[in-house]
Amino acid sequence: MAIVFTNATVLLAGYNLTAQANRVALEYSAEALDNTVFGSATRTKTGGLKVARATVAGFWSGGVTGIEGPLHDNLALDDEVLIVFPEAIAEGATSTGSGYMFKTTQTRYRVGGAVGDLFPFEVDAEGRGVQS
Amino acid sequence: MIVRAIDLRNSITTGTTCSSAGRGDQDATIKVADLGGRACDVVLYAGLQLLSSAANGIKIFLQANSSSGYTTLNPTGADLVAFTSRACRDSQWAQVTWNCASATSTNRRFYRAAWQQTCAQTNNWLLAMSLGE
Repeated sequence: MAIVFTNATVLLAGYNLTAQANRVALEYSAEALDNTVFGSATRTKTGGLKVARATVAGFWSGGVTGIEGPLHDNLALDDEVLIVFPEAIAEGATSTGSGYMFKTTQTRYRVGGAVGDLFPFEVDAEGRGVQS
Repeated sequence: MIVRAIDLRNSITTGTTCSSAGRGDQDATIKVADLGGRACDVVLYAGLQLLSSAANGIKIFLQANSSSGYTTLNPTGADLVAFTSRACRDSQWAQVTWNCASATSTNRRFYRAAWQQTCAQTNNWLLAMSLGE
């Protein structure tokens, strides 16, 4: 069953970005290593290292309660936890309200737009790999 | 690595019930996640978001209980993770240790969040755990 993507929850490093965000993307990928040898008719591949990254975007806000402070200051900090729930949170439920989480390093913070826009922000985070 | 996660406790909007004794056992609204019988050497993770906390801070626990669940005879279970006490915004991560060398005859099955804090204070936080890799 499909869900309408209107009720996501996005938490990063102790900050709830939900009320400022309007877009979130998680990417979990793996390298495909070429192990083709002589005599092959096609290239063959085998699974390699995994890569995890996320992008959160929305509307910028400054001041003491805004998101500018933490997103600016947390750049390059390791071990920030990113948690995303695509739909409504259901405590304790394993069938609904499930989401994703990983330990990240915030790698990019971008702001800026064109005249007349609602001033946007975008932040990237990459997975820290070993999760212990 | 990105892991699939479920929410064990979301106190972002509701605040928390005072539970300086009993680690939340008296909270009737607490939710328990049933992950089924869990074999040893299945790695689980816990992620904590502490969005605001009072001056004396809060300490969060991830607890597990056996196949009989949280009953009056065993209301607490066992602490699998005791996050560091904090009195500020924070996020913490933990790998849940459950290896075959320490496994008992009873598989871990039921999981929940518990906490200790000073009475009459409000702390807003969310604890999630993974469903296994």
